Amino acid sequence: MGAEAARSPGAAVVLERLTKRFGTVLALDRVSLEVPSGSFVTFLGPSGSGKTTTLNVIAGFLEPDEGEVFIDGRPISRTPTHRRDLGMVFQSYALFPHMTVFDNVAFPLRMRTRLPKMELERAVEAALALVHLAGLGGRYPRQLSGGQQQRVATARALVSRPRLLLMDEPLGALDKKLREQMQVEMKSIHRAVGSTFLYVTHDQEEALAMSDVVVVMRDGRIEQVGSPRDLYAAPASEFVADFLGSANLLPGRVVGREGDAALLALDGGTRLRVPHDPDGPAAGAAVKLLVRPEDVEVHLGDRADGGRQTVPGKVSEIIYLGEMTRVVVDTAEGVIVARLAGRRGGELALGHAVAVSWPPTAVRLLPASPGS
Amino acid sequence: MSRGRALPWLLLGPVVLWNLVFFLAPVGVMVVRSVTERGFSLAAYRSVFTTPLYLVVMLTTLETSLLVTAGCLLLGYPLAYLLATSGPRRRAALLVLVVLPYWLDYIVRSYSWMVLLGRTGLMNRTLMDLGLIATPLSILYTRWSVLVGMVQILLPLMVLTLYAAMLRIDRMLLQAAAAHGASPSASFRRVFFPLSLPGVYGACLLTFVTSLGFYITPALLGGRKDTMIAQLIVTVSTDMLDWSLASAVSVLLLVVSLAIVVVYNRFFSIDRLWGGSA
Repeated sequence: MGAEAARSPGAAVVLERLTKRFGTVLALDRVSLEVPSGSFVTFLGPSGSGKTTTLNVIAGFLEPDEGEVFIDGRPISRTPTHRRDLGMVFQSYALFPHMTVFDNVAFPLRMRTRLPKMELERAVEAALALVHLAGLGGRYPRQLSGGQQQRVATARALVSRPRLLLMDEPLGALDKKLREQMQVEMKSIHRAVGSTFLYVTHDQEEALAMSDVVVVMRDGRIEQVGSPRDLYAAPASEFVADFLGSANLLPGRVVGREGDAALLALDGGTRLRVPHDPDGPAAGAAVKLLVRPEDVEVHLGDRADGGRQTVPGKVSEIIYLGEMTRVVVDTAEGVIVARLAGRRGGELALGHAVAVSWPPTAVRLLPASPGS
Repeated sequence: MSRGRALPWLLLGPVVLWNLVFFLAPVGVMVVRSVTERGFSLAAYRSVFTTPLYLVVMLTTLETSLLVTAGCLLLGYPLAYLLATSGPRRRAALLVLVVLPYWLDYIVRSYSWMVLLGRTGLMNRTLMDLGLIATPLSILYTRWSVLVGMVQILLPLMVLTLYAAMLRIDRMLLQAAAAHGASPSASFRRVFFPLSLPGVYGACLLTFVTSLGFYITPALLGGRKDTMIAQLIVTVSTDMLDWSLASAVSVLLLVVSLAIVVVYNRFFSIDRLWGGSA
C-alpha cells in the first residue's frame, strides 16, 4: 500500500485491459479505467454490457482471461476475494437468513477483526445508526421490509470500513420513491465514510444523480467515461446520447465547413450551420444531430424568433406530466420531442402546424453509428 | 366454479384411492388381525411386551438404523456438497455415479456384498495375497457387513435428499460471505453448513425410517445377533404361522416409526425439507 493511499480511506483502483469470455461471448473487451481514491464511480449500461462482470472481476468472483486489477497500486488477481478488503451490496441483498440483523452486520467484523465484544457491539450499532436502523438488531432479515433489508445490506458492507465498496444494482429492487430517497442517503454515506464506491446500475437517472464519474458500458466495452454533466452535455456517441436522458437524433450529412462551423444537410432537406470542433466529423461524413428535448421550443405558426434554428412540423402527441409537458412533433427530419417546463405548451393542440426550434449552441454533432 | 373445485379431487383421486386400497386397508386388516385372530384378545401384544426377544430385536433395529444413518450422513454429506458446488459437467457425471447403484436391485447388491465380504471373498483374498492377514477375517454375518450393505444401499437416498436441499442455498450468500472477509472454510462453517441443516435433518429422517424396515440386506449379510424387526416378522408369520403375533410386531414397528417422525418433526420441522421456512 502506498503511503499516499494509506492516508485516504478510499482505495485507488486501476483496471488494465480486462478481458473475459463466456464461451464465444466477449463479456469484457479490454476494459481499462482509473478510479481515483475515494470517488463514487458508476458503471452504467444495458444488461449484457459487462458492468456486473467488471464488478465480479474486481470482487474476485470471476477471473479475467486477460488483464489485471490494481488496488492501491498492487495487482490483486492472486488475492482471493476474502482478502481484498471489500464491502459489497448485492441486488438481492444476500443477507444471511439464519442470522439476526446484528449478526449479519457483525459478520465482516468477526471475519476480519478480533474486536472485543463491547467494541464489536458499538461498531455494529454505529453502522446500523448510519443507515437509520438502530434498534432493529434482533430481527431476522425475513421480518424486514425490502427497504430495511437494503439498509442492513449497506450497513454490513460498511461496518468494517473497507477501502472499496462494490454495489451491484443495490437499489434495483426498491420502488421509485424509496429508490430516490436511498440515492440521496447513499451519497451522504459516501461522503461520511470516504471509501471508494464502485456502483453498477442500468438506471441512468441514478447514475447521474449519485456519481462523481460515470462509466458508460456497451457490449463489454467502455463507451465513454466522464462526469455526469460532461456525459450529458457532450456525449461522444449516439449510444451515450440516447442512453443518458432522452435525445432527438436527426440523421444528416456534413456538406462543408466554414471556420469553426459545419454546414449540415439533414436528411429531410433542412440545412443548418452547427458549431463544430475541428476534430469532429469531416465533410461528407454521415452524422446525427443531437438536440435535447429540454432545449426544443414549439411555436404556433411557422416562424420562430430570430437566431434559432427552425424546422416546421405538426403536433402529433401531447403528454401532460405536471411539472412539464412532452410534445411530439412530426417533421420532415423525423419525430422531434420537446419537453416544455411548467405551464408552457398549454396553447398547443393535436394537429397544430408548428415550428420547432432550438438555440444553435445547444446542438451537438455525433458520428452516425454504423448500421443505424 | 364447480369445475375449479373438482380439479384438485380429480388430480388427487387416483393416488388417494390407490393408497386406500393397497396401503391403508391392508394396514387396517393387519391391526385388526393383531387382536382378533382367536376372538378379541390382546394376548399377542402381551407376548410382544413380555418376551425379551421382541424388544431386543426392536432395539437392535433402532441401533442399526441409527448407525446406518450416521454412516450415510458421514459419507453422503461431502458427496452432496461436491455435487452441489460442482460445475454442470462434473455434476452430471457425479449424479450418474450416485444414481447408478439405485438402478440395481438391492437384493442383487446384497448378494454382491456376500461375494465380496465372504471368507473366501474378494476382500479376504486380496488382504491375504497382500500378506496383511494370515487367516481370513470373518466380516460376513456380522454387524459390520450389515452396516456396510445397508449404508451402500441407502447412500443414494441420503445424497440426493441432501443435494436437493443444498441446491436451494443461494450461492450469492457464499459470495457475500467471501466479499466480507470469510475464508472458504469460515464461509462453510458460518453460512453453508447452518443453511444445509434443515436438509440434513430431513435426509437423516428419511434414511432412518427407511432402514427401520429393512429385511433382505440384514437377512443375507447379518448373523443371528443382527436380526432386525422385519426379519422377525417374516419368521413369526411364515415359520411360526402366528399371524396375530406377526401383526402385533408389525404394529409395534409402525407405532415406533410414526412416533419417531412425530417427535422429530416437533424438533426439526420437516416442512423445511420441502422448502417451507422455519
